[in-house]
Amino acid sequence: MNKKNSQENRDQLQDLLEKAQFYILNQKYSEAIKILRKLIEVEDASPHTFYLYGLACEGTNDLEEAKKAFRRVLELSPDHNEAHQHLDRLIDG
Amino acid sequence: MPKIFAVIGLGTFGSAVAMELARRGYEVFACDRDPEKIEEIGGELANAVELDATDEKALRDAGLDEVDTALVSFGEPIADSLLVTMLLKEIGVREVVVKVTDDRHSRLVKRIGADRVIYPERDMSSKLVESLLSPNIFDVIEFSGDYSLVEMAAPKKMLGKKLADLHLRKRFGVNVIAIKSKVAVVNKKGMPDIEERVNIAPGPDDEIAEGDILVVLGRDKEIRKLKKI
Repeated sequence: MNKKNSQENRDQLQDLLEKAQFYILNQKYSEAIKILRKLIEVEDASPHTFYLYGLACEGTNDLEEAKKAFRRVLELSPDHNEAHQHLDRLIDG
Repeated sequence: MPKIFAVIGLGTFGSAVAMELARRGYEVFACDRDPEKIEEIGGELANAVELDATDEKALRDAGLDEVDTALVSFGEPIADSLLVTMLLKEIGVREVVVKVTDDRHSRLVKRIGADRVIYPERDMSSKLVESLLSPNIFDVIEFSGDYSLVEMAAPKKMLGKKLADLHLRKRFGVNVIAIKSKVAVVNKKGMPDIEERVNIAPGPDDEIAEGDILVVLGRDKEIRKLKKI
């Protein structure tokens, strides 16, 4: 039973992540942010979740939050090229 | 014929300018009297020359009389900056750009022939203050008088509206000369990503989207009003 619940939770989180990604690809960054914030609160967020959150924040010009998110990606996954590129671009202007 | 440049003084600023010109494919003479600086940049630039630029003969021998534009990028000592500026004009450099350290330096160097004076620290500090005070302002270029070209995040009230419907020229006397948009893409690895695209001279039917940065030209006072909407 617990196993089933935990699988359902994982599926729900995956659905939410895909939904956030869908919003980003449709340039609805604020909508993506709402979902990603929830995901970051509830799950042991993956580098990919923080990466998407960084993208969405960058998309709304919340550059401070975007930098924090990309730094978090690099803490969790130091070789994440995309996060490196975005962070460099945001810092160098 | 592509322009030929010279950069005299290879501190942080001068080196950066010389490297950027070379990166863009221009011929650059990079000069400094310090052999260590020449060694540092020599690997990157073909024409890195150790010379004392206050010596007219040395300037001619190095071929600096052939350059179109020279940047005097060392600020101090001011006496040397003045002398080098004067010599560069005398040997026939068409345009001499001088980096200055203060207003007095600027006044003097203009009198003896500088075609253009730059003040990177002051220019940078005013941009920095603007961006610190207005987080939604990304860049400012001052024009003459009270006019500036400003990059600003599109205010929320504008989102989803067409430029024509915003009546910005009528209401604020400003022109939107470009819109930088954050366009979502899928990169080669199949991951979502964001790219910046620039719409130069947007038309009346162009719509403002979330994340857009407007490049606005107008009077400072009116731009300040626009930021508040």
